[in-house]
Amino acid sequence: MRFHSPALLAFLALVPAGTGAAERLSDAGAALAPVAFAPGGALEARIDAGGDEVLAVHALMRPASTNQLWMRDRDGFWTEWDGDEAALLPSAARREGDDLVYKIFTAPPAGVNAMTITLAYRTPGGLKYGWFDAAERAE
Amino acid sequence: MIFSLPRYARIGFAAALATALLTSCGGSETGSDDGATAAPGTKFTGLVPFPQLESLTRADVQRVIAQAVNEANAQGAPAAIAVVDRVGNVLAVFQMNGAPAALAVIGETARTISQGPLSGTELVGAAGSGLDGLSIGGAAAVGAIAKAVTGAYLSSGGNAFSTRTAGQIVQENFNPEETFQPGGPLFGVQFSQLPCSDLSTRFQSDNGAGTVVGSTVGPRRSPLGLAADPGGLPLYKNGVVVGGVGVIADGVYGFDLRITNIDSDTDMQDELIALAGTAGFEPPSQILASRITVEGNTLRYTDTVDDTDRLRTNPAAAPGFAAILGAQGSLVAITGYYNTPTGAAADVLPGTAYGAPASGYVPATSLPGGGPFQNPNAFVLVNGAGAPRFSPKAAGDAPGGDRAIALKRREVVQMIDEALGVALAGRAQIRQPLNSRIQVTISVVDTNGEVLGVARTPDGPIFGTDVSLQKARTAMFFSSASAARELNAVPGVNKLGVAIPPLSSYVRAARQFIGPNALDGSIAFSDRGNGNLSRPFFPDGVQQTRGGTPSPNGPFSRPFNSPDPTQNWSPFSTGLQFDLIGENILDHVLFILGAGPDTKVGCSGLRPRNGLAFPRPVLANGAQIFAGSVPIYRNGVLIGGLGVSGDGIDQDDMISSLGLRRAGLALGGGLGHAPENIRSDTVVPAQGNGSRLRYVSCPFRPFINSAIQNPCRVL
Repeated sequence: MRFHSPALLAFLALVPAGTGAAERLSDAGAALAPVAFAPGGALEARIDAGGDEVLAVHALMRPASTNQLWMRDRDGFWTEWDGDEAALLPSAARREGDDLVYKIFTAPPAGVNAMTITLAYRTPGGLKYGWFDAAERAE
Repeated sequence: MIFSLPRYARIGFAAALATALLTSCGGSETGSDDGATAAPGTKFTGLVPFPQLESLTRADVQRVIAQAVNEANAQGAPAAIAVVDRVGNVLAVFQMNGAPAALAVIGETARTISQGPLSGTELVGAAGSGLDGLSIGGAAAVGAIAKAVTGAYLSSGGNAFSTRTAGQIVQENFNPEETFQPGGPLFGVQFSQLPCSDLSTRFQSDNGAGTVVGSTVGPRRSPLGLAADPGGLPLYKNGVVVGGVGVIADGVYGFDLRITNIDSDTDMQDELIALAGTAGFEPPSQILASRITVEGNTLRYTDTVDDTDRLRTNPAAAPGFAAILGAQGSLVAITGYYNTPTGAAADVLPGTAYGAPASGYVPATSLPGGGPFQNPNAFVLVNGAGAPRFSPKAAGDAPGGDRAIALKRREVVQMIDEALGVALAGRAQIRQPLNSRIQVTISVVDTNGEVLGVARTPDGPIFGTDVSLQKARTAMFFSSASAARELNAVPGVNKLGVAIPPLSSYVRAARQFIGPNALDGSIAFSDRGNGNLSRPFFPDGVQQTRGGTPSPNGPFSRPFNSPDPTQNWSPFSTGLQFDLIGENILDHVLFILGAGPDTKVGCSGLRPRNGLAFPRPVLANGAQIFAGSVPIYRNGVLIGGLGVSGDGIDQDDMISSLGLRRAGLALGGGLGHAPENIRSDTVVPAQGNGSRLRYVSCPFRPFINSAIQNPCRVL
C-alpha cells in the first residue's frame, strides 16, 4: 500500500507532541506523551535531539486496532514496513536548534482517526526511537 | 507423544477400531495426523451456513428497556439497564429514578457482602484484594454495560449463555462448591475484552473526553471485562443473537457462589428484570445453557424454572418507552461508552447486524479480491471503512536474533486454514443441536506479541476474538526466554485502595514451585500448562491431599485460604492475570468517572519488546489462563503463538495443536510444536505433590464424521 495525505490543508493548526518541553528518544525506545489533533487536522511532533548527530530521521504509523505498520518517506507517502530496520526509509524533519520537528501528516489517512506514531533518528551510534498515541479530538 | 489410555478410552478405541474395520473409511485412533494428509472427516472445507443478518432496531431497544423497567417497578427495585448489540456497541443506558448509583464490585468484608439486599451473602475475597471490595460511586450503569456485553459475547446461534452461566464456569471448582473438581472451564475469562485491549475497539461517542481511539466498529471493549453476576442475558431475533441486556438493581457486581441452588426473588432481582427485558427477544429454547452440558455438568441459564414463571409483570403489557422516559428515569451518558446528545428517545441507537461491515465482522470472501484463506467459511475483522484489520502478514521480529526464521505470511495463512478445517470438522461441546460444528476464533502472534492474523468461523461467540489473541500471546510470552526478566521489571502499584504487588513476586513463586529454570525459555507453556499454575489449588481443583494437607496454590494464583484475607483468590483477584492489568482497569474506572485520562492502548506494565516494530506491551490485551493455545517453534526455537477460543477448552486445545501440526506437515521448514522434552507436561513441580503440568488435552470422539478417538496422541 502506498498513499499520500492531501497537502492542501495548510490552514489547519499544527500540534506539537505533548504540551511541555520536547521529549527525547532513546536507544531502548521511549514512551512519549499522547497527542490529540483536530479532526482531519495536521500532525507534527517536536523531539529534542540533545545534541545528537542525526544522520536520518524516520516516522512510522500504526492505525489503532490493526496490525498494519506504515513508514513515511521524505515526500509524505506512507508505505508498508516489514519490521526490517535496514529497510526503513528516511523521512523528513526540520531542525530548530536542538529540536527536530517531524512532519507526520497534513491530514490523517482516510478512515484512521487514531494511531500510534513511532519516531526515530539514526546517529553514528545507532537508532534512537520513541512512540506516542495520537487521536482526533472529539468535537 | 504417547499417553497411557484409561480403561474407558481403550473401550472407545476398540469401538473406533471396529467401526473403522467395518466401514473401511480409513479412520483409526491415531490415523488422522500420522502423515501430511488429514484423514477423512477430520478436516472440513465445505461451506456452512452463515448467520442471517439480524439487528436490533431503535424500537426493539426501547421495548427491551420498557419491559425491564416495568418489571423493576413491580419488583420494587429501580435499576440501571444497558442494552448492547452483538459486537458490544452500547445502544442505550437507562437509569431509573431511585436506582443505586454506586457499584460495589464485591463485598467489603471478607466473605460477606455488607450492603444492599444481598447483605450477608458469603463471598471469597476481601476488600483490597484485586477488585474485591472496590466501591465505585456513580458507576452502577458501568456494571450493567459489562453484564450486557457478557450476555451478547458469550452467546451464538448455537448457545445462549448468561452472566449466571459465566459465574458457573469461572470459579475454583466446576461446579462451584464441588470440591475436588477442576476449576471452571473458562477460568479467567472475566479478565478479557479489557478496556486496555489493542483488539477490542473504543468508542467515538466518548462524551468529549478527547480520546477517540480505534475504528468505528466492534468488537468493543467492556469496562470491567466480562461479568459473572446474574442479570446479563443475550437478545435474539429469529434465532440469531443480536445483543444483550444487563441490569444492576442491587448495586452489587458479584457472582453466585452457589450455582446449584435456586436464588430467592430478592436475591435475583437483576436477573428477573433482565429476563422481562428479553421478552420477544428470547433465545431458541433448545440452545439455552440449561440444555448444554460440559464435563458432565449441566449449565445454568437463569434461576427460573422456565422463562417467565417468576416475573411479576406481563412484559407484553409494559408501557411504551415514551411513557417511561422522564417519568421513570432517563437515558444517561457513560463516558467512553454512550452519549446522550438530546436526552430524548432518539438517543437510543439501533444495533449493527453481525456479518455486515458496520459490525466489524464480514465473510473473508466478501473482501475486495477475495479473502486470503482457502477455507470458504472464514470471517475476518474489518475497520469502519470495511478494510481488514488483521490481514495475515509476515512477522517483523527476529526470534533468537535471526530474522530468517520468523513466521512467514504463507505459514500464518496455512495455520489459520488448518485450524478452521479442524474446527468445522469437530463436534462442538457448547452448541445445540448435538453434533453441531465447532465455532471459534483463531489468532497467531509473533514473539513481540504482534498480531499476524485473526480469523474465525462464521458463528463463533464474539468473546473468543479477544480471548484467542490473549491465549496466543500468553503461550508465547510464558515460553519465552525473557519472561522472568520482563515480569521482574514491573513494579507494584497502589491505586484506589487496591494493592498490586510487584510482578517479581510471581517469578519468585514460580521458581520456588517449578525450579530455577521457570520462565527462562527452557519450558514451553501451552495455556493449559500455564493455567495449571494459575489455579488456587495444585493440582487443579484438589483442595487437599488424602492426608488432609491443604494443596498449594499455583504460583501465578492468589492463595485460596490465606490468613490474610486481602491476599485471597477470587474471580476478581486471580493473581498474576489480574495484577498484570489491574491498574488498567482502575485507570479506566477513573476515566469513566471523569477523574483521569483513559487507560492506554495496550495492557500491562510490561515494556514493549521491540518498540520500533510493535510499540505495545507483549501482552497487549492481557493474559488468559484457560486452555486453547500453543507456542509455535521452528526447529526448537520459539517463533510465536497460536490461540483458539469459542468452544470447549478441549476443543480449543485440539484446534490449536492440530492446526499447528498440520501446517508444519504441509509446509515443512521446521515449523511445528515445541520439542517434546521441553513441553510443560514434562514438568513435575517441586511443590506439586508429584503431579505434573499438562500441555494439551483433546476431546474424545472429537469429530462428527470420523471415529478417531484421540488426535492429540500424534503431537
